[in-house]
Amino acid sequence: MAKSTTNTAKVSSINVRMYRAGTGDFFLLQFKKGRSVSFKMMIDCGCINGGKDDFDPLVKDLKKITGGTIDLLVVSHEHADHMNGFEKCKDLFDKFKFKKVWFAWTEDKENRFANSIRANNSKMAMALNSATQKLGAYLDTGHFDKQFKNELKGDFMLDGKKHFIQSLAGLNALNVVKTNIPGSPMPTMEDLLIEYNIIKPDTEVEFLEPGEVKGDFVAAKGIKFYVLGPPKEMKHLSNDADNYTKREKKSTTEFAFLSALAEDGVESEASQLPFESEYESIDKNDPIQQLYSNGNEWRKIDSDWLLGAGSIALKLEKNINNTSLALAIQFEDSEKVLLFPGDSELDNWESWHTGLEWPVKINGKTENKNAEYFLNNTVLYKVGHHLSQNGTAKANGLEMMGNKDFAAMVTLDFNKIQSGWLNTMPNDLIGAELIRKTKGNVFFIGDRNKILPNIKTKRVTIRQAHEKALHQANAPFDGKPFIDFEVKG
Amino acid sequence: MIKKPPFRKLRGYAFDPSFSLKIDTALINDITYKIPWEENVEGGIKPGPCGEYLEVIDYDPTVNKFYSPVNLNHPYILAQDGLEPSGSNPQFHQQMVYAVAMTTIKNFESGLGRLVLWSPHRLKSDPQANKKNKVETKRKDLEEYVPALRIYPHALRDANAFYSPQKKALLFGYFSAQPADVTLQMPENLTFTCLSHDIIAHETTHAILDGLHRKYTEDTNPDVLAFHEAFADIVALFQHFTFPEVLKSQIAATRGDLASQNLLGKLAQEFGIAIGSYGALRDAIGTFDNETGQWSPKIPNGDEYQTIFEPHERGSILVSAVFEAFITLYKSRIGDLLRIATGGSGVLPKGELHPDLVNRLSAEAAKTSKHVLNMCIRAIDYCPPVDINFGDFLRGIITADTDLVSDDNRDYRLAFIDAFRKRGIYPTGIKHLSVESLSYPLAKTTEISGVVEILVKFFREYSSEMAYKITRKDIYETNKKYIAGNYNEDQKVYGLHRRLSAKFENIIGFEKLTGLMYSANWEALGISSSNAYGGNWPSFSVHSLHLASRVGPTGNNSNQIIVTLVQRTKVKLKKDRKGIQNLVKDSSKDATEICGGCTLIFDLDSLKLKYAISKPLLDVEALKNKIHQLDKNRCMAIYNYINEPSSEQSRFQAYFGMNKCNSFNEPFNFLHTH
Repeated sequence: MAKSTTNTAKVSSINVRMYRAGTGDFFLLQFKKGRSVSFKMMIDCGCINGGKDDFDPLVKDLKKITGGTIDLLVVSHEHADHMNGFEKCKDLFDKFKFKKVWFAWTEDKENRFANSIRANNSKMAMALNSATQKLGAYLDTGHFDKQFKNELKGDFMLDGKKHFIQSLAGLNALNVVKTNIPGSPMPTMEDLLIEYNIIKPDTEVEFLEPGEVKGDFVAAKGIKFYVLGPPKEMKHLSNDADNYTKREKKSTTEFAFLSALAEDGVESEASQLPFESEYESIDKNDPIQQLYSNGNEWRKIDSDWLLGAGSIALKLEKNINNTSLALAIQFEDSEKVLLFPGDSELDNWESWHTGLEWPVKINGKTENKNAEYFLNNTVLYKVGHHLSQNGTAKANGLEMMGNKDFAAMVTLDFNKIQSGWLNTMPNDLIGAELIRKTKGNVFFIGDRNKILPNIKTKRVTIRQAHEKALHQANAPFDGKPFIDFEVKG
Repeated sequence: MIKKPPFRKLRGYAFDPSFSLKIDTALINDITYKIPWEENVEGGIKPGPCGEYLEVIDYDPTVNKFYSPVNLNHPYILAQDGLEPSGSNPQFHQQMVYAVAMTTIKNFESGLGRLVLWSPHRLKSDPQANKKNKVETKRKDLEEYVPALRIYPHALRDANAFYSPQKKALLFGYFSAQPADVTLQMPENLTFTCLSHDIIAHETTHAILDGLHRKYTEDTNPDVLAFHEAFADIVALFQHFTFPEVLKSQIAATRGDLASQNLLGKLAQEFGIAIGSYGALRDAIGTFDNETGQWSPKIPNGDEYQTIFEPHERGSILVSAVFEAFITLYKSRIGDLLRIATGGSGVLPKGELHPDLVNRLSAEAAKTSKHVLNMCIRAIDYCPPVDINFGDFLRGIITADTDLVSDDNRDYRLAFIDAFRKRGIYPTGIKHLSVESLSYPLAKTTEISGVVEILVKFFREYSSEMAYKITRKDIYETNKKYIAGNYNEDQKVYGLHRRLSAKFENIIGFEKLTGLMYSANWEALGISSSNAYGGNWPSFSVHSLHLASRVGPTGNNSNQIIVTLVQRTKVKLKKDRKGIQNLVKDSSKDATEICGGCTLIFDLDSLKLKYAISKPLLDVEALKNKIHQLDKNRCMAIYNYINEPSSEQSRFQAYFGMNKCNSFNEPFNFLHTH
């Protein structure tokens, strides 16, 4: 008797638990009917540079609270800070049961377009990895020390190179798969989760496309899942806002750069060379070769071209961020929305507003609603891309949010972060606007006392009352491994 | 006896190879560059080409290969004006970079009135050596003469090219491109930045400007790096317009509309859009309507300068201002031609334009370009050595032009002032915009006339010695000798640095002019001490000493000595007892370095110090009351700019760049990468 009422009753609240491993996403959403949990949803499990020790206690907590059964797992996109926990805690997750897993359509091996995107990304990832290693070797073998040894301000030059290479390594570390068979698509996240034994033979896997509506979970009655992104058009997935369009377009694959770094295999050596071999100078005693090789270390250019990997790294990061599965989770009755955009960048956000509509049942009638509707009704926003400038759209995003119960969760932690990210995270304007719109209900994974000063720059103002409220909201979780936030239906 | 040829002719692209693939532009894309016949180097120009100014080293590190250097003196090559333009022959690439870079160098030399020197290689001081020479030189920085700029035509695999101030080298990249119009090129075709006239000229200009003002790579206000970019683009653009053959076919092809800026504006932008960010600098000139393909000029709204801060966009304000001035001048120059051609009606007869008219119009456009180019280049000598902004450049243009061209009968200066005003570029400290007020006032030297006289005598010695210096190395060594001095007994010269230290000690008149500190108690202001020449002085440096001889349009000669002085202070922002934020001297590692500087222009004919163009470190107003304190407004602005996080940096800069204090990491690579 009791069982049947729980089955027909609707979900009345969702408890969102944000685990605090470090910069990266790891969420448990417990859907409750009254006081009892009826449905357990997990979103991502990652932390940049996270090791097993960082995840272990958190995964143990997850096990304890869920009993090791997860009804629905969502892995937003293939970046280490969203999924490395699965591998690190393989042994613990081995005892979990994941009933269903959702990925973005870009992970679907049967989709040819998705395969070509991943093949392209795979090429870039390998080139980035190769360049990172080569530069790392230059650094380790003292190449730059030698080059700058006698230069005025040589220490500044060395610092600059070190910083560049570290930042590159930081972006390289984001990629879960760094080497692959040349020419073949990257393994999908499904492949990876099978390898980690998260997806077991009885786990159901689904790939979602923008425009879709999901909501047939009996245990999550009254809740609908609306798929906003990732977009299905190339222009949103890999948007090169640059000037090449006027006469020449830079190749999307960075063919020239990549082929020089291709380890071996598909590209023959001749196809990598810009000129026919007849023009080569092979005599080592040629005065030009001598001029370059003998002395004048400070003028040599052997390593400079590898720094071109920097723009590849940023492009790849963006490409993969834009494959984020963006979900709006809605209470049917109250129309309140929990927005989990993964690390969607602006192109992904923008695509939600390109004429897409979703059927929403309001007072028994089905109406077609656009993305603005979901943004208007958002009461909890998992802030995109760790509060960086490109993780939250302005006009097509934050400006449309601002429900009276609005709250936000930020997966940013200065103690665990890549040094290169500190310049872009947090973005002060978005941070301040979030604090204003939530009246202080912004939760941080990391120490808010370290993050807040970087939001409070000269160009923004934050009301004292809001700041006080922010401290009050966060304080109960100080020292705890997670932050709980309850959204009432 | 056969005379040495005045030129070496080298064929090359006027634009870049893609223009050769279109039938309507193929004809104008091949031009012959006339560059000086180099014989100064022993044995003439060597394979590379390696000449007096440039050494082209065709090493491709991405595949670890050298390409055979072109020998421009090979009889077959001499007989056919260089190799035939070709994308697939790296030896032609070497010839192309050499030809365009040399053209740019020659343009600078004619504008500046002296030979181009690259910025010296600066080395860490050797503490041992300094100890030995304690009394004699005691120079903290060692400098090495850099005879030739290195050019690596195939250094990167990227749609990028940059000047490396650290390596004194130009690095050009190549990349695979997908043409916007797929019929033009095969997909994934390799595009070489070293084959684009505008890119080569742009990068060479960065190198030349660094040789003139090495502090312009330091990001001390939103204009500095934008200026470097814009100036490089201005030179590339107007150098391009100085080839009449390039303009001819376009002028002939255009019916009507000759006086308007549409034709030339469209061309300017088409030159620029070849590759990547280079086009961005010309975005402010006009826009293409994607649907109709029509080009229309962009009308400035007057607040660009106050609202746009991203370096390329900001640079494009300057480019468009200079371009507008050019158009105004061109229009006024061809007014008579159009009246003649149309019988005063303004309406051209039907049919093709008369070839004579086409020739005359393109000649006028080329001549106007040359004038604008010269005005901009000359202005560089009239700019302060540090912390430049667009207003300083405008004042430099006006002053330099007033100095050389007494009769501005075509209102060149007004055209510039008007174009700058329309974009909201107003120099600070000017009461109203006019030629008189923008032109720097003559330096008030009554207080220090005696010392100036001694200095000018010294400069005359310098200039007479310079008269016999032919090679650039001699010039460099002589400049150095007269700056730092020569204390070998046989040919003793007290250097300018020592003279300034000694002569101007405690002379407030000189401090008022330069804004630099020469009085006791300098250490309280964060200025370090120098014990050079056995004395105890406030540290400062003489960045450059030049002799510039220019000839004006009326045949008038001007002989000037240009000296730039730089002084630095190290400070930190601290609250004083009253809680007021103030800049306090600080010698720790994370203190901020702020530079003041002054350009002094002496006239050798009138024996006067003519101008003192200063970015003061000292509060010049307070000096009137004999109070020595830092110029708080200026220093604070720089301090805040350097230390506040920048909202205008690109994502690339944010991830990979260092903060603004560190300007020793390929600033142009960062600027050119998005």
